[in-house]
Amino acid sequence: MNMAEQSARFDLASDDVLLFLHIPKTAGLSMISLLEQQFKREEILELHSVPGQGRTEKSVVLEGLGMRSQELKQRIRLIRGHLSFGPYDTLIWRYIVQTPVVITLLRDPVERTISAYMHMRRNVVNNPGFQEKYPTILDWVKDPENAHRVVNRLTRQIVGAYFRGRRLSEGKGGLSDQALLSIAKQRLEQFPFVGLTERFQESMNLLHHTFGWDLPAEVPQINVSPTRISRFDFSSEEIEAIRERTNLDEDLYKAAEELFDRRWHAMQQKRSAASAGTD
Amino acid sequence: MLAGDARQLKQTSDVRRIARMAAQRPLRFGLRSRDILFFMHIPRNAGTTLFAQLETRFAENETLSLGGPNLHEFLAKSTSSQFEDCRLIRGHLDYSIYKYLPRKPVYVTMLRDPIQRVVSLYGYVRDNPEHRFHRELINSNLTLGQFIQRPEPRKIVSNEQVRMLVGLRRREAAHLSNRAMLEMAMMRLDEFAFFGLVEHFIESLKLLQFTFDWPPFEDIGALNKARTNSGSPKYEQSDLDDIRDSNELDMALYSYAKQLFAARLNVMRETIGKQPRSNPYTEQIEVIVGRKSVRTRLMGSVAVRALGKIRRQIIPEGSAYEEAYLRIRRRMTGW
Repeated sequence: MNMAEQSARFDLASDDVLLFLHIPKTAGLSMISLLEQQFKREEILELHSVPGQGRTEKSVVLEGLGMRSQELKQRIRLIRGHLSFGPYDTLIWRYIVQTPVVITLLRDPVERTISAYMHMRRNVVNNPGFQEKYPTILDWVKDPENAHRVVNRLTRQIVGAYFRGRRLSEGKGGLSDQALLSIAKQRLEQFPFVGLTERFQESMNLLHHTFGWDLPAEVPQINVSPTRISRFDFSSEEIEAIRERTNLDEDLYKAAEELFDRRWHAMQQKRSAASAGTD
Repeated sequence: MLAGDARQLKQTSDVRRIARMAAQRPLRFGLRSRDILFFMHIPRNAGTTLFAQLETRFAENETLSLGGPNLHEFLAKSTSSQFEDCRLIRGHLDYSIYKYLPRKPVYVTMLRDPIQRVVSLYGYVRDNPEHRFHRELINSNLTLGQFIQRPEPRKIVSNEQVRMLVGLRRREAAHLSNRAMLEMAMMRLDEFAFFGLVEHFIESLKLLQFTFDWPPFEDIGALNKARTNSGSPKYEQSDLDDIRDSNELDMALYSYAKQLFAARLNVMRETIGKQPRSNPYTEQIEVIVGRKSVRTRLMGSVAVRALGKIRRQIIPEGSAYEEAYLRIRRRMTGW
């Protein structure tokens, strides 16, 4: 059994680089606020999309930084962003590190999809005309243009964007569902920490235990008030449309829950052994 | 569908795309202080030779060669902290080794033409009494064709390379389609820091050295080869066909591996071609010239000439710069 299963601890070396795969609408920002407390400002690299045409995203940001890649390699200890990591993904491999310590946060795929829709709807500035184009979530989910945001978003981000030179989101000649899911599950096991939005407090607890950090007194609460939109505000037709398109994510999420339970249990055992002095 | 997959791979558009894709990924792989290199030793793939080469890059006390009859029991009982100080591990173990290690290892492996591999395995079993199928083969006087049909040997001669790369236990993999298995194995080749081909062993060593920025390997010959005696029977074409038929996945994987390997060799050659001849004194030149507010990233003999020009214009005779310049020029050009 590996370290994560036995004691849920991972020894971070001084030259390790933590990579937080931030999947949108999973309370990642709340986790980031805690993560960043463990590092100095200059050790953190945030990769965000650069709006524009053609080749955008992190590649532009990183290529701009590429001039000082030696410095980057030595300085950066935490990378975060809406990105995936694989040999052909982003330019982290090229410029910074080939063996990052990867962590992530997952959320129930139906809730996440709803949250993504509501977020874009609210964001009138960045998405003008969104409400008119997609008055209901069903319209949004069914439009093939949004496939890359909706269809098995969790699984695809975990696996990485490319396979044999084709972007997976293009859908043609890509990985079969079985392979996609199987690889994603193996990846989760390889990540020293996989948190769950639905168990955020516990996740932050486990996160700090994993890397041997002290849990701060103030852990951000994420909004779960009764007025928040949830799946019960939508018709079963709408929910079904989401579930159809997140079938792999659902499976993956179950695996993530089981993994989380095992590690939580290992943490409890380690803690009780420590307090009993038998560690 | 599988034959279609293999055919599809031969199409030029695929080859071009694979080449383009290989070029996107820099081959250089930086190992961090706690990274563990795991050499997935697929039997009969020149692993003993490759491991002997790999060992020269690590200290003895950080190298672990896993083997023996109770290997899986040993692993099941081990704790990952036992492997913490290992920097190089080798074993006839599949991808799932990551479950036993303190962190995900850096994978490397060697692949081989599936038919050659099985033929070699047959010869090895025949000639090595300590192999667990040796007795069965000798006592029943099995031909190659008969050997690969036996229920136990069959398990290790059918798509073994794909199965080791995928790394799932049989009952876990049982629900996976052939296509999914093949795709996962291909993903591994993308993911592995390095893979080589037995049929191109010398180039494989070059690529391996380039990947980890190691000094060149020395020629130590081939180790643990199957004995070839002059009296050995030629194999029936029908036997070789049988091997091919029971290794459809390995055949398709190997086809992809050849293309990806060739593409990476090209990337390596281009990268080396573009690099200026390495000159360890380049930085010193920059600093010295930099003090005079003249920056140069010139290398080698061009730098000498440039310095010469600068010296005439800026550096006065007898100054500290002249001394430094002469020292550097002496080192670079040998006079």
